[in-house]
Order: sequence, then structure tokens, then C-alpha cells
Amino acid sequence: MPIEAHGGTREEPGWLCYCFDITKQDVLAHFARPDASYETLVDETNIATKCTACRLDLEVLLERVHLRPGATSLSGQSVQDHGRGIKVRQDLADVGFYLNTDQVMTVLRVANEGLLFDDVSRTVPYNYTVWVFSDRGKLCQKVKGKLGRREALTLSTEDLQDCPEYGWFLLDLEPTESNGLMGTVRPQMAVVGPDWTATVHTQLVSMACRYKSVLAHRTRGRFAIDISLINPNLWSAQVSLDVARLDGQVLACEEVSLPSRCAKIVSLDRLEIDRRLDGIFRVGVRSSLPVSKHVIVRHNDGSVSLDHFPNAK
Amino acid sequence: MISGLFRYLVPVIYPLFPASTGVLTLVLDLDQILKLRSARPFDGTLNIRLRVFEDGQTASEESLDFEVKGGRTGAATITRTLETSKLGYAELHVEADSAVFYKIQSAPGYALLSGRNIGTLTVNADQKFANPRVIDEIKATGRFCMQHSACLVDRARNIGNSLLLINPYEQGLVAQILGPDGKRIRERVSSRYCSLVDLGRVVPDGVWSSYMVTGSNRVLTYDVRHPADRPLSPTSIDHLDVFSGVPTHQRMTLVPAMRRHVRNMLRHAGLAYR
Repeated sequence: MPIEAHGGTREEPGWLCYCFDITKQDVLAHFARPDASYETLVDETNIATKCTACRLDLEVLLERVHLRPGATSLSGQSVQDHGRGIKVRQDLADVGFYLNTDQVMTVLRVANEGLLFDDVSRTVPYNYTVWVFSDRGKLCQKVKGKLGRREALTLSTEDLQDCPEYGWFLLDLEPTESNGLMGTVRPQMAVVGPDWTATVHTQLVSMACRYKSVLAHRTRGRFAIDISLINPNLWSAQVSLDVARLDGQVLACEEVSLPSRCAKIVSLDRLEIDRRLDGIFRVGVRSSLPVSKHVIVRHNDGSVSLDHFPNAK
Repeated sequence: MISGLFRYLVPVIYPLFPASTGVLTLVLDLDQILKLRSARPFDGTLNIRLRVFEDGQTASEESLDFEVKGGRTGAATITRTLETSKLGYAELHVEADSAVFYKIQSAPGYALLSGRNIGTLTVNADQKFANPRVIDEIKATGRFCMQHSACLVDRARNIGNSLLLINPYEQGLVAQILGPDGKRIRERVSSRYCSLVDLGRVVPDGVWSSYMVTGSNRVLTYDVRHPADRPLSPTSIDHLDVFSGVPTHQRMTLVPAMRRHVRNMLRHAGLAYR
């Protein structure tokens, strides 16, 4: 099977690093050794350390070395169409929360740009649908539209009529042609204050999970951290949120009932923990159904930073 | 690498800001790493190497060996607080004395940047090499391109946005930062240096914009939000994303394809959103 890197195949070794006379076969032979690693390869051969033009090709070549048995790519995705099976669009339904107060608004942004703002040959147009829900599960808005090549969607909670102060949204992107790459369409959500912004990628709804944990820093008896929970399922979810020391000892726990299509923000400072305990803790969220979880860290200057819990896979 | 198993996990990189901004806290749960990544419980040695780089030099280095019995170290989690006097980065290696890992990517998670004035920020690690998304992109497009689609610079409101470039490799590189209106700047980043670039130089003021980064070689990138007049006081640190080389459609066998189709129909009928 040919190696994907430019200019050679497994049968025809091909030069990889002209500066140090290294072929692809030399690299593969190095990795046949039990003590081989990227670092030993660079240390012993100096590959990719002079003009560095070969480093990207080396990365592609090393994918073959780093593959799990039976896998075809490190990401589990195939960038080539092998022509077997039914062609189905990727599931591009993302979920996120929004804040919409006097001081803070949320912006959802999706851009469909060409490679390096130039080559649009591998991009395709999309249809999009955004469902905006209140925290109590009421569908407040449904926004539909088209996102052409070189276009961007910028949807602000300010633009939505009767948008609640807190809730969640689901964004579905439907590619209208089947021969493109996803390119830049991974959505971003931004929370915007009077003099600050914070962004995070929205998370695929299929990546919601039943248990994940994150780290949290407590100073002067205060976390200043909120956890946003979204239940996009048809059924109610029981959620258990606990704060534990790094050695696993649980210090506090809160049970939350989250009805279907509802969202809730839980402040970690609501949990009863000895005020003298400061430091790094582990916050675990366990739920009876897959639930989307985000961390909202409130800062002393009024700004916030955001992150979602790690993906399910 | 022997029979599909690896001795090491891909080194991961964490950005470091000057101590006047804050300190970065890393927490390593070794038993969790072994549980998630080793193919089977094993006996041997696990080496953890943490190096901090500043101005192209190694500012500190620590190497720890742990005895592993039955796939567990018995060690509590390792916590390290890292700080530098300037912009820098930390590089973390995890290596076993035999091939035990079935997957080379480190388990997801983030570190905490605790600011002197602001509070705490979450910081994602990036992989030094073998990032599956970058490899997919290079295979599909032949180019290296990182991008962020929600950049905002608004000087009237003192909202700033910068790009942090980290070059953990052995040779210098030149990164190109491109704005949506054709503006572009070139930034040289020497080996094992970092550079913070004001995005106000490439994106229009007061307008939500995208920007892209390419270069003579791969570079690690972070999107940093901060007051426009204080770039070293971040309020949010986000990662960029690759120009995805994943196709918009995938091939499936009949049953999963039907399941996907039904799920899409139910979602658009407002019956089931997940």
C-alpha cells in the first residue's frame, strides 16, 4: 500500500530529508527498533532539523508507525473515499449554552472559508438550523439559513427576540454537496462582556457523556466556578456533581435533577466544603444519561473563561 | 514500536506566561494514564520527564522514575507548579521501559493557569507531533493551516486578542498570520521560543473575524484574549483548530446509515435532539 507522504511509496522508498540523506525506509527501519521514538530518531539522524521542509511529510509518514493494529488513521476518520458503503453526511450537530444579561451576551460563529482564505475548491455550502432553548426546555427560536462558501454566520443573543438570560442551543450543519472537506466550519461560541471576550468550541452533541472530571482551583475558600449542564435527551437525567481531593476523597456532592431539554448552572461555591481548604480539586460530573457539561470560570475583574468537559471519545 | 504497542506517549506542550501573570499547575494521575493507555497491566518502570523552556533554553528539567506493579504505580497524583520570567512552555514526556501503550495520544485534560490578579484559567495541552487532525489536514490538503473563526479586537472597548506561537522544534520557523481582508504578517519564531502576536494587525477593528496561521513548518498555536493594553494579562486561552481535512460525508454500512438518517429526521421534526 502506498505511503501517503509526498513523493514515494513503500515499494519505492523515496527521499524524505535531502539535508541528511534520509529515506522513508530509513525512518521505518528506525521504528522497527524496540527503543525507537520520535526523539531518538531526531537525535540520531538530525532529520527535520536543518531546512525543516520534510517535517510535515515526516508527520504523515509517522502516522503509519503510530497506528493501532487494524486502524487506517490516527483520528479514526478517513480522508479518502474508498467507495464502499452508503455515503452519509457527518453528524455536525453541536450543543452549547448561552448567557444573555444586561452585561453579557453570547455570539455563535461559524465560518466557511477556503484554505488560507483562498482555495475554496474543497469547501461546500451548508444549510444550518439553530434551535434556541430556555433553561426550562422551552424552544424559544428556530433559526434556519444557508452558509455559502466564503460566508460566515454570526448569531448574537442580542439579535434574538425574547431570548432568556440563560439557556442552550443546538446547531445543525448540513453540507449540501458531498465532495468537500469540513475546513473551517467547526463552530465557536463567544461570551462577550463590556470589555472582554471568551471563546470555546461548541461540542458535538454526540460527544456528551455520562462521566468526566476536570480540575478546579480554590483560593480563599472560593472556587468562582460554575458548571453548566445541558440535557438534550428525551428523558430526565439525574446528575451527581462531586468535589474531591486529588487522592480521591470526596468532600462534597450535589444531586441535580435535569428534566428533558433543560439546562442548569451549578455554582461549585454552593457546595459545603470547609472554608479553610484551598488548592486543586477534582470536580466529577456523573449523569444517568449523556449530558453536555461546560466549565465557566469567573474572574476577579468580571471576565469569564470557558471550557467544555473532555469529549466522550 | 513492537507489535502495535509503543513505549512512549506523544510529548505534550503547555504554554507558560510570565510569573507576574500567573503560574501553571499541572496534575498528573499516573495510574489513570496507565489505565487509559496501557494495553494490559504490566510490571516495569515509568519515566516522567518535565522540561521548561524559556528564551530557547532549558530553564528547568525534572525526571522521575516510578516502579509499576500490576499496571499501577501506587504513587499519588503528581502536582507541579511552573513559572517563568517570560513567555515559555513546558514539555511533558511519559515513557515506559517496554512497549505497553496501545495508543500514543495522551489522555485529554487541561492545566490551570492561576493569575495573580484575575483568577484561574483553563489551558489545554497541545501535542508536539502526531496530532491526528493535523495529519488528516496535511494528507487532504498538502498544507499546514490553523484557524480560529471568532476573533474580536475592539480597541474602543479595550478588548484585545493575540496569537501565541510556540516553536518546540529544533529549528526556527516563519509563521504567516492571515486576516480575512488580505492582510498578512510574517513572524519568525526561533527554536524553543514563543511569540505573542497582536491580531489587531490583521483583523478589522470591532468586527467578528476569522484568521488563519500557516508557516514554513508546523507551529503550536493558542488564541489569547486580554485587555488591549495588557497582552500579558490573559482572560481566556483557547486552542486554534486545523483547517479540517475530514470529508463532509463518510461511507457507512446500511444499518448505521439508516440510524443516522432517522436521527436527523427526528431532530428536524423537533422530536429528539440528541
